[in-house]
Amino acid sequence: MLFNSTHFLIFFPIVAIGFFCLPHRWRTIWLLAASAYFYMAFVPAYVLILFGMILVDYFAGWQIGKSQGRRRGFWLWFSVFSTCLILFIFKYFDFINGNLAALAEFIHWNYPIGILGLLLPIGLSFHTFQSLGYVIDVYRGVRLPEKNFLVYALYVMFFPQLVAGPIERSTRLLPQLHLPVFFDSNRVSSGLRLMLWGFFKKIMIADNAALIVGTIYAQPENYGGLALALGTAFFALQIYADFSGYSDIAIGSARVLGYDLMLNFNHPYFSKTVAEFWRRWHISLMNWFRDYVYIPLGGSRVPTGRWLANVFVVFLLSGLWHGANWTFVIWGLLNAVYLVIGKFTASITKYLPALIKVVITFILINITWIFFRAETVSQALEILKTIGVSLVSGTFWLDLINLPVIAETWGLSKNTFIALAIATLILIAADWASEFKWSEKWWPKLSRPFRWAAYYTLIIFIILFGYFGAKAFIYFQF
Amino acid sequence: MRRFFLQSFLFLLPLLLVYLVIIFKLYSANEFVSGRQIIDRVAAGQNNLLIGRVYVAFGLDLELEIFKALQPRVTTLGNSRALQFRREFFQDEVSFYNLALSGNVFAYRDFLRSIPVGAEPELIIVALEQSFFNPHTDVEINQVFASEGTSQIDYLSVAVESFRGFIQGKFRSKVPADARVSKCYEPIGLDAVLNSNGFRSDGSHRYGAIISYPNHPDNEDFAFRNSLERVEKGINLFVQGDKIDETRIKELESFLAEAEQRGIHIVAFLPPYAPTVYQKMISLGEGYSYLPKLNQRLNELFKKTGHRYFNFSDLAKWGSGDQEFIDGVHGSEKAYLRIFIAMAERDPRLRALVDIRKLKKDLIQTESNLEVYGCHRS
Repeated sequence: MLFNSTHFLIFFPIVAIGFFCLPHRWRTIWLLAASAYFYMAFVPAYVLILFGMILVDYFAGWQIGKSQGRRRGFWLWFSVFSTCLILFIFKYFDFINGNLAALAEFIHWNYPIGILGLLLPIGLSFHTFQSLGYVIDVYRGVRLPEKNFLVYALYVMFFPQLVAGPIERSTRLLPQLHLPVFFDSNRVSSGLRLMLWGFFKKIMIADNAALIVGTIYAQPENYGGLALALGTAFFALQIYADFSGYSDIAIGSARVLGYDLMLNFNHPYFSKTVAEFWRRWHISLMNWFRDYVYIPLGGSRVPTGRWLANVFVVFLLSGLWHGANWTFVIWGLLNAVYLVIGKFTASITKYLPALIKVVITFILINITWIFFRAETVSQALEILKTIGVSLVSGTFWLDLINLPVIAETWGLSKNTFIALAIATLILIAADWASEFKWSEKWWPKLSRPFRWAAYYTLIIFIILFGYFGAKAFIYFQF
Repeated sequence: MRRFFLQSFLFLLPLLLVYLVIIFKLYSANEFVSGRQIIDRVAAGQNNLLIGRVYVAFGLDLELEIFKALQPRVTTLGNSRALQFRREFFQDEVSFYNLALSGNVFAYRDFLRSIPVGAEPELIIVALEQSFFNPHTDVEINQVFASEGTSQIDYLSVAVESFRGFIQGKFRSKVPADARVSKCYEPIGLDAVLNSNGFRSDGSHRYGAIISYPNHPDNEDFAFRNSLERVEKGINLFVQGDKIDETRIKELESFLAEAEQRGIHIVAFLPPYAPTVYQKMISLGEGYSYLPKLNQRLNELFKKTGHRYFNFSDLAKWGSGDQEFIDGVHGSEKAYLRIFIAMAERDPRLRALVDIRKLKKDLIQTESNLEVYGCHRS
């Protein structure tokens, strides 16, 4: 079920009202049933895979808690292996198989294994990491195994964050699921406001920007350097508004129900370095990699060569986590290169003005977005080449004169384009105010009519100019 | 909790009031009448419907159901440029239903196969959209016999689009009260009620607002400005080309053969452009050289069959003019009556189903440039 659908707009109030009307002892079952229904709106049969994973990891966690010595390690690896096997079969088998087949063809070897062509269960990468995190936490002794199976199942399946995160930690979410929740109008209002903001980002900004990006990236050979650069910048806007919008709706809906999910985006495009960007973008995923991969490998407290390897391993895995395609692998490795270069040049770049650093970081990240968005590596390289050549030759700047004509082919009406521009400015202003904590200080002091007028502005923007073609969130494909 | 719900209600009250007005207007305009009801009423012989819903499409799925229920002797295939053929063009005892909502020539055989044996129409009039035979066309060619619209109601979409329409003034009538056809039609849907636009019971289409104000500057294609701009840019039905797509010719050939096997007579034609628009296309020299090649190829193709083909691209040659056009690519009912008479005079099987003398008299006597038969025939 998509958040931006009639189905969810009916589903969520029913779930929320039912939740607060039911006694606490029934609420876990209620939310579990609602989460199962939410997940089954995609491919109903895949809920069985989810249940299977929950059973395996719950059982493994229980066994780790009961066991001593090497048996604990056995159950840990049992859980890791079985969980990753599911991920491998659905997500990576065809990619690896396809590459082996290409290699076999190259060396004239008859390769017999065909593709599976399985549809990826939605959110598989997210709840895989979430449940793996639980088992590892139990193994490390960070928390005891969860006794209540239904509560554990809800921890994995909790519908606000089930299909696209934030990837919650067992130490944060599981304790909350045990506590009784009381209706708090301030908390519910806060949650609804966050959801509204998320819908504004998704429907008004991300989905309209997606039309422009889709047009340009469908046939990049038809566009010059400036259009391709702008298309990439629009993609930077699209993916941020889409993913952070989803996270806002997820966090907001959980907040309405009385649960606190972790922050997933912290105004990443204000970052002054790539390292800082990765502390602000998809925070839950990068924290997971930090705590369960990077630090166990030694982190930065190792010799330089080993540290380099650690960084590359983390970003290689991050790239593969995003998708079984060489474009994602290169995207990940490019970020690793940036991080390494950034560390070695920190002593020089620290003297640059903050604004220059922000702009440079934004450009570097946009270069990686080209690989993230392109269909193939060769397409990404061709786009980079076109942009590069146009910059060198000067046509990049000459195209500015023809920009209104070029923009007419992007698939948005003039009014919607203007609305998108205004909405983007609103987003930047809101993020700016939040970055410096101004909004936390003065927003509550504003009068109710003024605040309501602001909310109505968002609602009117969404209704009048939002894109209602029910586009799935980008990160659903992961 | 009570205070929270009260505050939420007060917050949403302005929006709820607007939607209350919108829902009232839509409901009173019969916008939400179900497809099933429409099918049943047309099948039962109700000839006075004018279906002009704004937020629920009159999809091909609905039309196919009506076609199956009526099992007409004559039908029409093609895109919107075939929607002006009316039941009134035929003799009283000849049943007719206009099924033109898809110009996808690849799908016509699907249509034939969907008709049970024994339920075939005797004759099908087919409008062959010229641009579909241009390999460079920018029009999406779907392989399935379906219109882009569906008759299912998407309530979120209705909620959003109706609000936008309300703000943009689409809930105000574009035609004077005395020009609305509510006296002789039962309008279903907002467009039918306000603007007398819509699909009649026989599947043909009525352009209400343009019939009332043919030369209004607000008309989208006033003085064919939109069409002429598309010709200049070579977009949207006006992509230039110098070749024809043989795959699509082959597909048409297969359709004609299958129709012959089923005992169905085909009368096909290239639909007209407004003379000003056509002259603009020709003035571009080699730009639209695929058109005469298409005409020649179709002549050769149809000569080998028992079916008939006509080229009405330049309707000025048949006595029509710009004044008989709704826009640059859609002729009016009067223009299509002219086309129909020309085809009937030359095709014996079509001629057997009509009263040519009466049609010619109706054509001469009509005062309007766009409409011949105002109301439906009872």
